[in-house]
Amino acid sequence: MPDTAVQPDTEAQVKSASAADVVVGILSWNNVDVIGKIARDAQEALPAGFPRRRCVLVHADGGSRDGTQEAASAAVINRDDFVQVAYPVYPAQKISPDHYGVPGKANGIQAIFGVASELNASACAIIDSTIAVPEARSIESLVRPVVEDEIDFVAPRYLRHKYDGAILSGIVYPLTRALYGKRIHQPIGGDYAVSGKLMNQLSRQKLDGDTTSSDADVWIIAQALGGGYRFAEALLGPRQLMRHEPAPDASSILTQTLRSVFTEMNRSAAFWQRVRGSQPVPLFGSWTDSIPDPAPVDPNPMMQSFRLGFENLQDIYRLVLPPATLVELKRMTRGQEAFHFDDAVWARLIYDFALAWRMRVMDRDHLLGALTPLYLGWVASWVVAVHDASAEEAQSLVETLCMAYETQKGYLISRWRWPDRFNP
Amino acid sequence: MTNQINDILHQTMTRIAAALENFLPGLLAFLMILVLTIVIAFVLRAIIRRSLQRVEFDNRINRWGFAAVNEWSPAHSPTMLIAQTAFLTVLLLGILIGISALDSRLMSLLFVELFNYLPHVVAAVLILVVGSILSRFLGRSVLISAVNMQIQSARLLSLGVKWLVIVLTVAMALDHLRIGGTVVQISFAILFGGIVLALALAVGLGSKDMVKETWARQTDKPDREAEEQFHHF
Repeated sequence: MPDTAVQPDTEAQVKSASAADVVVGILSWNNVDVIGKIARDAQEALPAGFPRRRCVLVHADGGSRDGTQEAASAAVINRDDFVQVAYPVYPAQKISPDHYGVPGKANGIQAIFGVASELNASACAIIDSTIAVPEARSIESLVRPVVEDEIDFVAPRYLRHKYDGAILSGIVYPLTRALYGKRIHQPIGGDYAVSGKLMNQLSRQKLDGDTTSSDADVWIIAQALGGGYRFAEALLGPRQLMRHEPAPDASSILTQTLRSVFTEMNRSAAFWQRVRGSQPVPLFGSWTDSIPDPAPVDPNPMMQSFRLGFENLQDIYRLVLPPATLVELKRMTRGQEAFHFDDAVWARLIYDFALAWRMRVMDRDHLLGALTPLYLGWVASWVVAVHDASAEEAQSLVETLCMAYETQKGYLISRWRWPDRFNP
Repeated sequence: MTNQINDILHQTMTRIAAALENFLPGLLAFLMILVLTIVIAFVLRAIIRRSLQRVEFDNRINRWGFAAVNEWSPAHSPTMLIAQTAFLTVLLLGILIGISALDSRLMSLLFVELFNYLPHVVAAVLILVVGSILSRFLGRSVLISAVNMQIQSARLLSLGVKWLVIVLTVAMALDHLRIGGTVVQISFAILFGGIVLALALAVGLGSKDMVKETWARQTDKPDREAEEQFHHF
């Protein structure tokens, strides 16, 4: 049985709110220390940004036990424009929490969309307060393209330093760009804004309640990408990432993220096989802030992980990767020349793992676990490559990697269609 | 005296002739059944092999996630495994039917014994199959987790877990087959204990650095902060 924190007065709150132009939904889970700030910031920034529109804040909580709901309620400035909703969280989702995001997120999002639909909102933003605390004006910047420019999906593009979000830079962004043809730099990350039209479509196609946070995020963006909607990116300032205890390791982050991405890739195969190339999406806002240079990162431990993994997991890699890739990986482990992961090899390797995922060559958690040392090898190569690079130069290297993913897409399509016959 | 010897020899010859007369049709029937069975077994094997090859059974097995079956199969082909199993089953049935043609009493005794023992054999085979799958799965899980935890002796650890499960499985299967009695139990206890001790030593020696680093991370917060400069997500 799912655990729900029932809010008996939710219906009354929605009725009293009657109608709204913009709904901002905040998801929370046992994060009493930041929920008040986010709720207050949202209620301050939105009326200032949209003085002629009614903005309602919806707080969705799956049953926090640390007083998060009370803290949010106490922090809001305008109670008339505030609604609290509860949503079901299954015990299994609480026992093995994800590395990021609230448990039962799909239900939380559906609850927010439900309220937004009842209020006839034309724009709805989702903020996951368990991942990071956005800057006060970020929520307004995220919603503005939907309200003023009829954009259907606005993805945030937070200001991050060159080492931040290696999974996004090395896998998720290049892969989604090559598959769906839209250049969205941070396709998953917890926050986004959608139009009323897209929200209504997403409300009709319900996602299973028993999914992870990243499943919900990837599902929503994949639905939007496959539906021919208008996309944009909002340039936002840096956000303060929440600290998790114990800190998640690279393997669990990679497994959770890629499980969602590969699942959606499988589901939308008919669509992405028709897509060629990629187009940029409109950018809104500007980065006025700057972030200090990051502390240097030592790539040696990651190189050691890569070598240890390749030495021990070759039996697994032989089931997944073609001989040419294995030869290239072996060359890298010798360490006779500068450590470098070729972009084309990396793109093909990710495609091979996606294919092995689809074909169920082995247990899927084993497969993604076995990818971790190779991913760390790529991260080490990336750290070496951008060591002396500026943020712009690092971004240009990401673009080069994306081009490699796009160039190698023919390889993916061939193997996807004829997995037994096309095996170079 | 000569007449008596002649009578005895005559009676003996008559008995042998009668016995042969009784036995030969049975033997002939046995041989005929055997030849027929071999022919049926060969035909069945060919039909199964061709049918499975036509539906690309080997590839399907891989696609369904049972790639490990390849490793147990003759010529690494699950199709061959099924065809060969069918061949041997038909041959075994043919031999049993043939023996019943030779001596029906012997056959009925054999069947009673066989049917009494069969549940034990089935249980033992099931235990071995499940154990084999489990040992591979757990061995691979441990290997991947250990590699991701930077444990240098990951392969050793994985092999240890795999053999631990195999030894446990074999001991359980032998127990079901009533082979070995207490000798198997005692041997198993010694072997199991030995493997656990060897693993404890291997992990203890192999991962002492990791344990040290973990403690250092727990007690040294600034290190943790520096590490958090790098966010994978």
